[in-house]
Amino acid sequence: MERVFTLVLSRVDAVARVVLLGCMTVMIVVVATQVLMRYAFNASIDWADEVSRLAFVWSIFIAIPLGIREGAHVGIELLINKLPRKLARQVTRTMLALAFLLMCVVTYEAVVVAYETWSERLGAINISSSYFFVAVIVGSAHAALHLLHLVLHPLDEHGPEYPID
Amino acid sequence: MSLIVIFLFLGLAALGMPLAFSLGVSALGGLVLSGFDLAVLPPRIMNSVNSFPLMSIPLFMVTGELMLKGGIMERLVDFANAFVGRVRGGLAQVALLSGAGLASVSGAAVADASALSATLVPSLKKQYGLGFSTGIVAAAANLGPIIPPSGAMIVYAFMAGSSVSVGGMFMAGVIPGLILVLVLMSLCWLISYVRDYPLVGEKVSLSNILHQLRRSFVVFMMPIVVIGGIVGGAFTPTEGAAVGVVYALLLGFFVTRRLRLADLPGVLLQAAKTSAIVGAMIAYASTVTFLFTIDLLPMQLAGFVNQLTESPTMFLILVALMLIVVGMFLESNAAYIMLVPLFHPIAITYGIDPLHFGFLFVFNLVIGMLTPPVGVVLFVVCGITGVKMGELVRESWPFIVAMYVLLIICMFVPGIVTWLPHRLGY
Amino acid sequence: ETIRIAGNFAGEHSSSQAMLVFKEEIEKLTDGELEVNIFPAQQLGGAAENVQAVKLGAVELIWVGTAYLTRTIPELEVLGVPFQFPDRETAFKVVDGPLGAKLDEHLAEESLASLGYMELGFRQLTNNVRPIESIDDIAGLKIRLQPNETHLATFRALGANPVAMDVKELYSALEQGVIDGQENPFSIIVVSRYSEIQKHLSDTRHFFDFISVVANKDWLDELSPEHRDAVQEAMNKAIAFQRELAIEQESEALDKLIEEGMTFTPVSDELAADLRSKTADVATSVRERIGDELFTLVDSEIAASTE
Ligand code: NA
Ligand code: NA
Repeated sequence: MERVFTLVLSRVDAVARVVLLGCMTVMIVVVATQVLMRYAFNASIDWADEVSRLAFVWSIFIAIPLGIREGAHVGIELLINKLPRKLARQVTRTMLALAFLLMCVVTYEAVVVAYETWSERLGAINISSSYFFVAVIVGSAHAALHLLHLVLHPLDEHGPEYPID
Repeated sequence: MSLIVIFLFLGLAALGMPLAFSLGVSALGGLVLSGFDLAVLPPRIMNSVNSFPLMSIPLFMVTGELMLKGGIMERLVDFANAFVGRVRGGLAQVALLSGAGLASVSGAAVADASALSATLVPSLKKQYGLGFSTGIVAAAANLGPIIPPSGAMIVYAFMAGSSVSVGGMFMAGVIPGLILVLVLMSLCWLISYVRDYPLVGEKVSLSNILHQLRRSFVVFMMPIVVIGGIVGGAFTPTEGAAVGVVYALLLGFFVTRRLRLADLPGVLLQAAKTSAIVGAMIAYASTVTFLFTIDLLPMQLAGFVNQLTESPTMFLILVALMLIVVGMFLESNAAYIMLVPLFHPIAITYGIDPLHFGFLFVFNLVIGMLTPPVGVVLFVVCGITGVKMGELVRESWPFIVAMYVLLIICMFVPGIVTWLPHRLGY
Repeated sequence: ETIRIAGNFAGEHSSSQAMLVFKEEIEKLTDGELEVNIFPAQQLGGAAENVQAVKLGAVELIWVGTAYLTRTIPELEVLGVPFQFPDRETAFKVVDGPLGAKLDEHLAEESLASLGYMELGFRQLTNNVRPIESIDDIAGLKIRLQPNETHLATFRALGANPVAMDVKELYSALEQGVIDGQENPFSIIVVSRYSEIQKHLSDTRHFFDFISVVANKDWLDELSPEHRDAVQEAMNKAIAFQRELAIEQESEALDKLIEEGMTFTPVSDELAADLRSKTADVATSVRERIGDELFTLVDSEIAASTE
């Protein structure tokens, strides 16, 4: 079971990384092109603002789960380091479980909101503005998976070579 | 309700939950307690990061990473060596000057700390031992967010709203940043003199200076193009950051030829992940701010502070003391995100110049990155060089004290901070 | 019970002042049974987010530029055609009349209840390059516009180079000369301090903008009939107050902008005619997009008032 979960998660991570690279590239290319267009051709791309923001928002929510496992999200570990090891472990798992709950709530509510506001269009490109919320849905669901994995299979049971990032 | 949310957050954070999630969970608690529809969460989370100006953070991070991968550290070190090689503590002075050069192309102390630790400490420690070497590097890394560009200043300007522009904040940091470089170099000279560190390094020669100037010219053109372009009106800060990325790519591929196409995915992913940490905190803090606003907390806080003192100076001192404590325990981005929306409007009611207040706020929390127990620059330097935290802190405190002294001077002589941005029309 | 009202206009804007009138009135009418907390100046997020918030019931009421609602209710674009209304009296007659009632039905489909329209005002062009004396003077100017298809098309038809940009970046972009100009009602130009960084001002009146006051429909339906009537009555007073104040503020704003050093170039009759003819196609395409039915209601109202 654990192996399947791990395998699925590492596949999802791989896809997320590809999407993330795409978003970052779009962001850089669009913003830089906008500057070039302005100075070289005295022209401007109508959709530059919306497309680059869409790529940016997607890149944030896609990247949040990728930092979870490496402990990139800053926290205060002062107290936890002073607790006895067993207790510290239980506390950490509880905190991760709470964060998992949060991500589940956010994912669910983001689906609700995306559905209810689907009729809202963006101004310069004719797509639903709720594609911004889709980023929240995808990112939070992915984050929930990572957190659940950490609750079920805490890091300290495994060596540093554990194959997910 | 605000109080419950605050205590919930403090409790969760103290138990080690990452700050972004602590904020989110306590907001969730607050929403449930006040009977709010939880559907308010996603719009707040999404809209708070849906901002073109905020995009400059990952872009500046990409620029910094590309510059490093493109081999600028080596050129900066050679450049600094040509000037200060024969001064007391010469190699340490080189580290400080390289740190200043790095600061003018990079926006984050953490990135600078890892670059300086990895490239300079191995040779520094042969002369001065590990403790002093790492102390110097940690202090030099702190120039990163003070000399523009600066991720911290971008976050501050974003959280403060329309009364503070990114360009204005950048310019506010220039003069204090340069003064800080001089202060750190003098202090380094003094310590080297007292400890009688040997004179090493190359002789200062005009031909070498000219040669190194020519080699480093392309590096220093980057802040001139990007920061100059932002201040001079060629582009917005976000566009400037994108121009910086293009510049760094050209530099790495065609000038230094050290950059490989295969380096790019790693650079982009790293920048995305690091910005996402800030993004996650902004997103989830905004849910807490929403509850505070609904609960009218900012108004009550402003009333309370106004009752406490009528003097702007007293207010600045109180805020500074608060930030020193906050800086010890809290990661600085989290502090901007949570505290700027509360205190910036109050500072304006006291008639304090927004840029002056903003700079003091940033400077104070930047120093906080060097103060134990929670200091990200300390963590990075310890992690990379293997120095003991206690030893690093023992060697850094003179620099920390010097920075606080400069902070106090800037507090009472606002002109140091505001003259340049005002001159430029901010 | 507390009514939370969110808006993106600055506290000193006439519409924010009107919300204070609403607060006073409703608390009087209901003996304090309904209380009001007002959150102006984007305290609870920007305009687009306010629209989402009221739809989802996170706040009970919002006031927002009607253009922001067109993203959810495209039918509202019937009000956003260039050079549509000759004057504000006609504009209000249209939204207070049968067309307004028709639009309310479309709002209701998105669980929004319209409580009426305030004045945002005629949008006017400012720039930093030259006074706009003839249609050729608009050519090539980099003008910031709201990211709205009709607005962008209108300025492209006029020969300008429209740039869609977040309003948060507008001030510094103008200051630094990244773009040449912007367009907004006089009262907004004043409170946004664009006079500090823009030299030339014209009364192009290219769009007349409304402010919609919108409630969450489920919330409104659940109020007791007395309270519901009180809300509408208090808002009617607030809206009447705002429309008066807006007239006053518009002329004061123009005087203030001139006093602050902007060069005001009134639009001549020939230029006005040129502006209309150049943008006629834009109006036609909006008409095709949302259908003739709503436009007929506008046309008949305008015809009646100009007779
Ligand atoms: Na910097
Ligand atoms: Na600290």
